[in-house]
Amino acid sequence: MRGDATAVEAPVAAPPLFEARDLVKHFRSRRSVVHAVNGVSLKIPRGRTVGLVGESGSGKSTVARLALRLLEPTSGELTFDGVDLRRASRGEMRALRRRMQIVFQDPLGSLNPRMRVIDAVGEPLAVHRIAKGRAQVDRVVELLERVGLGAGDLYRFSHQFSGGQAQRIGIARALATDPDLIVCDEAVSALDVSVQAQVLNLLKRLQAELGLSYLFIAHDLNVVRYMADEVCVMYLGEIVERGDGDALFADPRHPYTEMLVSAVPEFAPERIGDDRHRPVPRGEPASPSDPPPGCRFHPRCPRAMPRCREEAPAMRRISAGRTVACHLYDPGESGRAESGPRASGPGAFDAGEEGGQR
Amino acid sequence: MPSPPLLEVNDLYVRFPSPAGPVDAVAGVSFTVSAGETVAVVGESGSGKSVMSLAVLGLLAPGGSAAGSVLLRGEELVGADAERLRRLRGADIAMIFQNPMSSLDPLFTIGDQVAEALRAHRPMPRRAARTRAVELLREVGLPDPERRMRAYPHELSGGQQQRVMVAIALTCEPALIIADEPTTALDVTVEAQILDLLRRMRRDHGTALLLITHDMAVVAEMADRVVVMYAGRVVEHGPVAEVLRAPRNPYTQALIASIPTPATPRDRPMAAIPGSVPTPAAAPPGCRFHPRCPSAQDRCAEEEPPLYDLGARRASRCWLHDAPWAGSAAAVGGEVRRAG
Amino acid sequence: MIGYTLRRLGYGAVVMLLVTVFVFVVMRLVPGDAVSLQLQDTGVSRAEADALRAEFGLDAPVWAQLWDWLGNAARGDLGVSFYSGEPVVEMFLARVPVTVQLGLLAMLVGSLLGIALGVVAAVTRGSAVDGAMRLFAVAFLSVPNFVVALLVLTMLALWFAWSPPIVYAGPGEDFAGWAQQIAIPVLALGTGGMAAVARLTRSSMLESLGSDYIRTVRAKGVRERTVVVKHALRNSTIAVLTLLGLELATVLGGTVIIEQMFALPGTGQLIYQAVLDRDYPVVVACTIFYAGLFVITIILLDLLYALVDPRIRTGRALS
Repeated sequence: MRGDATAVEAPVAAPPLFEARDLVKHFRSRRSVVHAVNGVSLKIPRGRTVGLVGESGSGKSTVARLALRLLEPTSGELTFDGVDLRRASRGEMRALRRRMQIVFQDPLGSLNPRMRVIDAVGEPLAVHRIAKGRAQVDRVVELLERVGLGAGDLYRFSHQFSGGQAQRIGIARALATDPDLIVCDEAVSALDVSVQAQVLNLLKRLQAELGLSYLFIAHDLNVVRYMADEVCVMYLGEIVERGDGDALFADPRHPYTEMLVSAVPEFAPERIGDDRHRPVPRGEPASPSDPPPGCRFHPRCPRAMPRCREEAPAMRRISAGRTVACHLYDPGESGRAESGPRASGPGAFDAGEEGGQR
Repeated sequence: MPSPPLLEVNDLYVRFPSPAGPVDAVAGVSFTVSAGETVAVVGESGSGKSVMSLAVLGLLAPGGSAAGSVLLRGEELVGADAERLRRLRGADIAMIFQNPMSSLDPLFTIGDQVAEALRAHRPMPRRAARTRAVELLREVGLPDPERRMRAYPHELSGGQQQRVMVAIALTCEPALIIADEPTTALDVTVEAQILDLLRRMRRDHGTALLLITHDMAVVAEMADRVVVMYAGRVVEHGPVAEVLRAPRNPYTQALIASIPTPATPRDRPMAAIPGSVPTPAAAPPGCRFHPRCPSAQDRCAEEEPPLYDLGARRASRCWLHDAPWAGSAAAVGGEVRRAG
Repeated sequence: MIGYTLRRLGYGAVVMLLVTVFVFVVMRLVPGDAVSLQLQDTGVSRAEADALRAEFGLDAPVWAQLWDWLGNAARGDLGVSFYSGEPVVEMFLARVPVTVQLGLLAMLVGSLLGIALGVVAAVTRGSAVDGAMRLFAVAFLSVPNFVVALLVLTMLALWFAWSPPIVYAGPGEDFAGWAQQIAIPVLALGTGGMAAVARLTRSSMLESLGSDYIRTVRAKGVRERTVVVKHALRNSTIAVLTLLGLELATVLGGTVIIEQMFALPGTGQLIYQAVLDRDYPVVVACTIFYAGLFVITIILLDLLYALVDPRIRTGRALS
């Protein structure tokens, strides 16, 4: 069974709960092929959180769906607790599905608004034949209490809840089958700031109590940093950099990460009245249906070299717990990598206010 | 030396009908915007900030009605006749909206839509309007503006669409631009570009900006002064540096504490505000924030506090400012009282 | 755009072929054929009847008949009527103008009046005009077109002692007479469509008027008339176009009964009689005509869509 405290303290060498290797997903339409995910690999250790951050079109939500096999990958491998998900039989898959759940941005949007909470949260229990009748009601109450709601909410309709409460119900529904892994796909993105903090705290508390693993996906860097043990930055279907959130944000090594981190509006009241003009990122992401050759970031990259146009960089470990996919860190480029992109400072961007799109 | 106000909003109410009777989405909001100044109105969902901004230009959805006063250079806009408002829209006050994709008419080219804004106020030949439109699109940094004149909205990215919206807003060199969550629907790198564009526009044209947003970080980066709204009420306002560094209202304090920043410690729970943001129809009696307020007292549930003038162009709506040590609490101008 | 048009035309051709085959087969599955109906109660022997069948080609298997028919049709020969012996093509061409006049006028009345009423109702939403329009729309939608025709006829006869001429004369021969005769059928056929169009125009106008892009146009300071006509109406047309395609089917179906009622010598009357008589060549030709009219209209509407909506026309992003 899952989720006792030992899992949290498991040594790093222990096999990860979930692993994806070289995931690829192409969507074919009549006119084009959308390269939504292009060789993404990640491991989620037990009791830990891996964060995926990226802009629209980065493929982060597709990764979420591939991880749960809600979408069939074009190629790549997926293992969950040692089981190869792509070769799992129907029966095995059914059993595994109980252990992997997802929470969406609008968890109740996909449910019938005339559904009562007891049905919304109880549905997975019925589907997986975990509990019925009295036992089901008891279990739903237990789940509701776990997420900060109560028995009094059992017979309310889902549309009567505010955004934050709806997200709690979504989480209770995900918890119903006693999962090991929960994928949070923009789970707090639509919430007001004051409520978002409540839900983040709830997710962290549940992780500590139940030993859950999270794949936490969001476009808000600060939220991902707060939640994740390891942060993966995605750009146009690829992970370009990964590492510890604090380190990544304090010292981004990939030029895209650097651009992303400095683009986030900064809440720094102490600096109001200083020169408040951050460097301005240039360009916009290319379309995933027509990704640039070579490194996908090269058309926007201030440090692009000729080889970036031709050759896609491989993921390279540059220090403990930090990997980057950028030619700047190739062995041949070691002299430059030593100083790193950051050493060259603001050259990475067009100059502030004067710059931008010209 | 503050210049006389360009826009003066005074005790503005916006009322909508509902099955349970009329609801005030905006309840007695007052603030001013001086020429060239950027004022941010910040609030969470249901605070009434967007509705308030639409009321300024008389663009409320059917059923909505405004009461109170909105003065543009001393001219009353609430109750002004439709033709007068039409002439002001786009010419003196322009607007930029949240969702650029749905804010441009899908059936007309970018060029048509920019030129239409020009020709609505200055009769000019089609050709001249197009030439000017290309200039504007170039100014807002739209790449290859001649070609994009013939493009339709769906052929542009979200960032490019928002640049077009800025170009439309700039056509008649308005004195004030109201930007309602202009970057909320955009990716963060594109958001930075649009904010930069708004700054440039403000500097090059001396345009005043009324920025409606939920994002305190955007407020910190953009605004000179900030108005904090909660459930239809202004709860605090003042110069942005002072309010954000040392908020006086418990709501502002709690809101700022709950913002995740790169410095938020990961091993501790975040400061959250309990409960949820009330809808205007379900606003509690007394102080609208009292059910969620850490400093709430009995009085807060019964009686709504006035907006206390805290000096230094700051004000806050909270009974805490009524404390005896705060000095003589004399009512000023009806609702506003002086404290400390 | 050209590829789009060609694709639409290709689909149209396939639909036409399928309709032909379907009608051909189904008509022959209906019990009783032209020969047995003609010779009913005449005491003609089986052998003579079979000889007649052979003459009409009815003794061959259905597929062989179909094949022959298609071959002839490709050369422009749709056979002769089992009854009159006239070539079907000629019978048909004589009657097409009446139905086309009727259908076209009914569609025109339905769409133009419907759109106008819908726009007025949307702009004056909540007013008495709006209320009256919605009431009439529901009334006209719920009453079948032949009932409307009967009511109008009766009222005119009772109150003004007037009824339309019985003998059809083309607009070229006797315009006043033609107009008198065709006015009521056109109205009867058009009002149902008008009501549907008015309702849909109203609701899609309201949706459009409440949209973000209309808010932008208003924020630009554009005159309200331009807002309504240029932006809101044009955006509403897209939904209305779809409805017009469906409306055409109703109108065409309606001609069968209405032409019968008003003694209008159109294809509706022809097909009605031909079905009763199992006059296969005529039925098949009429059906193909109706299907063809429908397919062509749908193609035209698809092209109109693309004309109105650049998203259909271009589809791809520039950037």
